[in-house]
Amino acid sequence: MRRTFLIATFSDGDRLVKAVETVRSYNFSVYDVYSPYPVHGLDEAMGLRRTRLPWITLLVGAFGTTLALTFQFYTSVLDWPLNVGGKPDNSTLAWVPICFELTVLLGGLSIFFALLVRARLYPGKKEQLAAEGVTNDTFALVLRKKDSAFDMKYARELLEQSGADEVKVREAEL
Amino acid sequence: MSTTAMEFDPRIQEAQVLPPPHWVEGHPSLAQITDDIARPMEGRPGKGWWICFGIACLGLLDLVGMVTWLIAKGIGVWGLNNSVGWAFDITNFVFWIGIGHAGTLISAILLLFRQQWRTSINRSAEAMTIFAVMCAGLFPAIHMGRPWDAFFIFPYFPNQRGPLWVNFRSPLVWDVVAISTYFTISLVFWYLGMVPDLATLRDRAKGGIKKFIFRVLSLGWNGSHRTWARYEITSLVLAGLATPLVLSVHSIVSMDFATSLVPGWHTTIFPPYFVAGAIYSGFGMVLTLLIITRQTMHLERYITMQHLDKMAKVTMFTGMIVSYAYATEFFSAWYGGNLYERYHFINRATGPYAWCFYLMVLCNVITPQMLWPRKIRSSVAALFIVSILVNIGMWFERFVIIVVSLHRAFLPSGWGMFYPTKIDVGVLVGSFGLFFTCFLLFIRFLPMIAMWEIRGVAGHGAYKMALSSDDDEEQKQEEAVIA
Amino acid sequence: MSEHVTYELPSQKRALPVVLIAIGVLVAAYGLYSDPARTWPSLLLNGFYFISLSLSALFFLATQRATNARWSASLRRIPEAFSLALPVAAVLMMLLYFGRQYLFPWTHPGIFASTPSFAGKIRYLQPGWVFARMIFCVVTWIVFALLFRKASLQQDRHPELSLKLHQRLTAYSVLFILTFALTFTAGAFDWLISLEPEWFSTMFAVYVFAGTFVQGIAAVTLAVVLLKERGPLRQHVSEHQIHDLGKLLFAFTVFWAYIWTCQYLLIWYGNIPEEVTFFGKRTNGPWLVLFAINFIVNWLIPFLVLLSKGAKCNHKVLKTICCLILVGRWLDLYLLITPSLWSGPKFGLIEIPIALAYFALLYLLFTYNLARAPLTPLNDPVLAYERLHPHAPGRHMQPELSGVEP
Repeated sequence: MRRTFLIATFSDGDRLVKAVETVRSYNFSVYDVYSPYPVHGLDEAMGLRRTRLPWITLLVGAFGTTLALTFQFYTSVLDWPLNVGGKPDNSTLAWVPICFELTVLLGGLSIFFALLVRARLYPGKKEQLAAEGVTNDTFALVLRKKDSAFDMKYARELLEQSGADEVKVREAEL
Repeated sequence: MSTTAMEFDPRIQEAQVLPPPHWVEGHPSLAQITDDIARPMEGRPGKGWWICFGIACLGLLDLVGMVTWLIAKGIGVWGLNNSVGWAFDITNFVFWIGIGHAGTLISAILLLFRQQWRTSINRSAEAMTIFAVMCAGLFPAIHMGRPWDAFFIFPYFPNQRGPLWVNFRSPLVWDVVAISTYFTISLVFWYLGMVPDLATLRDRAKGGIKKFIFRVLSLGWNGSHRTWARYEITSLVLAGLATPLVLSVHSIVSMDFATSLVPGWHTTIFPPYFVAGAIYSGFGMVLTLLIITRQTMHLERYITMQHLDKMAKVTMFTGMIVSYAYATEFFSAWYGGNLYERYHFINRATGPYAWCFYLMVLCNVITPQMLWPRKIRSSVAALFIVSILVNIGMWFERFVIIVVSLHRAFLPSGWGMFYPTKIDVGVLVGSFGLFFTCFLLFIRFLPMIAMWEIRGVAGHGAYKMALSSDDDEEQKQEEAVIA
Repeated sequence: MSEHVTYELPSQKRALPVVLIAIGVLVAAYGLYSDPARTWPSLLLNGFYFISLSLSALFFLATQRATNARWSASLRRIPEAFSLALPVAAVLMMLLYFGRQYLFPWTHPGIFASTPSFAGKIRYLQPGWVFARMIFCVVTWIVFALLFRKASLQQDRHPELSLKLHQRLTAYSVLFILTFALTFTAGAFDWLISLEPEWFSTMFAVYVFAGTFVQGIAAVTLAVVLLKERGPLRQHVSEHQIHDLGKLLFAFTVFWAYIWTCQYLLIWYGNIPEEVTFFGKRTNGPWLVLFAINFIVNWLIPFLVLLSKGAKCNHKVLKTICCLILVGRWLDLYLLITPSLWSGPKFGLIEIPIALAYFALLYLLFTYNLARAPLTPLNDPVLAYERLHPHAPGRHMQPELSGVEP
């Protein structure tokens, strides 16, 4: 679906952060910001909440530990106990390494895939660039015209005053 | 608690300052950074690259031939015998796994410690990890003799060979799990780190197959900050997982030896000592690789002498940990009063493989001490020689641990010697071929320096301060005038 | 920057520690007279706790300087104050000479009668040698602590020399770390392993070091948080630095657990009689409970609690965990020392007052040394740079990486 956006481009990260702060202080909501590297201070400026993705690692990791522990217990104690080197069937200590590895493996993979799902990234997705060069040296601040109450002229003025190199209105899918 | 007036010296304002170091030389603009790093991949490779690649391919060819021969004839073509059942193969395995560790150290641990110097070298170090683990994984597989049955080492369900399971108490099974986990997580970490750069390359590509491939790989990345925020946390979590993982992998490898009772193998310091040794050897390899790429790809601006200096220091430090572990082992053998342990260490230093031991001491104990003078740390040639010596030394360390322990264990009637055959040497050389072929292809086709991270350092770090420091000078003068 | 902060312990707060020390001295005197075999181990345990805390503070300083760390520049005085307790700690440790026959089996003639004659321990544990080594170690540590302090205070007085002194501190740090590796290993062998001369583990010194370092970080963190809350460091320590300390604490409790597990796992796996005796003693009867608690207190609880970023930044949580680790470290040493000497755990009217007295002494020495210098270094070149560039990106106050935690 194509929507209308007001896109301001910058050539400097610090000016971008200032612009975001300004725009938000005038009660515009920032649709998104596009940058060639993660600009520090933007999280606060945009008022982003801390992502909850790490919780997935914790949960899936804990699941991995449990899985490894129960599986080793099942195979070595319940299903087919076998005396190897006089070690007890239930050698919990010897299972620690595999429990650890499975925790890390599942925890790591889960957050990777959770990120892809949450950020809607997938192989072959057609990129939607807010401006040319946002993956190189350009920073873009994007406001969305939600309804007629959006004061396009005022927003444009604000952005131009905060040092944008170019401000333009674009119909796009972002 | 009280706040008192300054009583020491009012000249406090004149205190000397120590600015944070710069990690990018000159003041390249953001576009310049992209250009510098992406251009070598877009043009034709130079003569240097082709020569290296040719040699590496020969090595790879050698590997294919040797392994084919090995599988066709069985592992009798190696010099193994009843006394020494593990030799070059396991030595190579531990050697390559160790090499991989420096990559994770640079990419994960230094990220957690906020060491900005990692930004120029982390990508290639991670790639090195992946390729080194690939080389490492090859050896246990071919050592099985019947590599087509390699899947036996994984527990699978339903188990068609009766309800027997793999022995989860065995460190060899831990190894399998640890190394597959390590490979998977390293690969994910490496790929995820590359996604923004792949997007840059996608947007630079004019069209055609290149654009298509980069589009598929870059997952539709568009630089959204909402994604960046999640992306950074994900990287940190992966780094946080990779850090204990890297410790666990070499610890588990060391347990292949340390859980046994063989003199020279059964000692509790093995896990941290192997980890330190792995980082030491890995940094040796990173130095070798980066010096080569720095010279052949002309990236002196990004891989600066300061980077090499830092790496040399880490090499020196971990080298000393390794030396400490050697000393502890000898001390314990002397202190403890276990006859076999004692004989093993005497045999190490005076037996038929003593020359390997002294070569190891020369490379791992004495060579790192050469890095004390700044002069040596700032000479590319000297560092290159040191890095090669480190690699040699660490290969021999594993050889000494494995072969010297096995060839004279408890019963003198079970003693024997190991002599490598041509196939042994051929497979070792071939594994270098595999490694370097992969690495050279990597620096040719993928961004070998993390462009987005360099942009972050250049756009945010001390570098920007340096640009504005002239203004500061003026400000200071103004303040002085007012005062 | 015309003012600087200092610290002073209000005199009414000195009363309790002084009383505790007095009680401790009396109890120790009575104990040495009536039951020396029970009292000397307490003196060894608390003495080692004391010396390892001051030593690890010095090691903390050294790691910061040797790695050119910038984030901790304003915290330097706190570990410095801990490290200056070293001379007193050394004297307390050397007093053990008078209780040697109650502590160290190698002082008994004929102890090595059944040991093979080629075993190096027969020569290594000659009493004269051991005590000479102990003296050498503590003197080296004291020299380094004093050198550090001297250069650090000189920097306060001589802004024009600050870079030179900064480099000198770095050089001391590197030298200290190298010396520390050797002397600390020797110390761990002489004071702890030699309690059971028939046993040894190559990992042992690393294990003791891991615990020692955690202990130092916990003590420094606790002191920093308290000083920030109560005012003196409010302006000089940022929340980010506290978060960093929390991360360090978290990382090294995990390191301790790693070393603990590896050592235990390998000895359990090998199952060689001469090795397992050590853990055999500690996992039997009433010791087993303490053995389990040790692992829970020193690793499991700190690990689970400090996993989240919120906890690492929360002063209350951080203080609680620091106290827990400081107590856990005491328990860890208790389990290293006393099972070698006693058949069952003892914890009563002799052990408690003596332990409290050592804590009180440490507290007094720390606060005394803290009050003797400005609370933050005055001419540190890193801090000077940051004062000149208050908004410089990449300075330690800057929120950069927010930590790793689910």
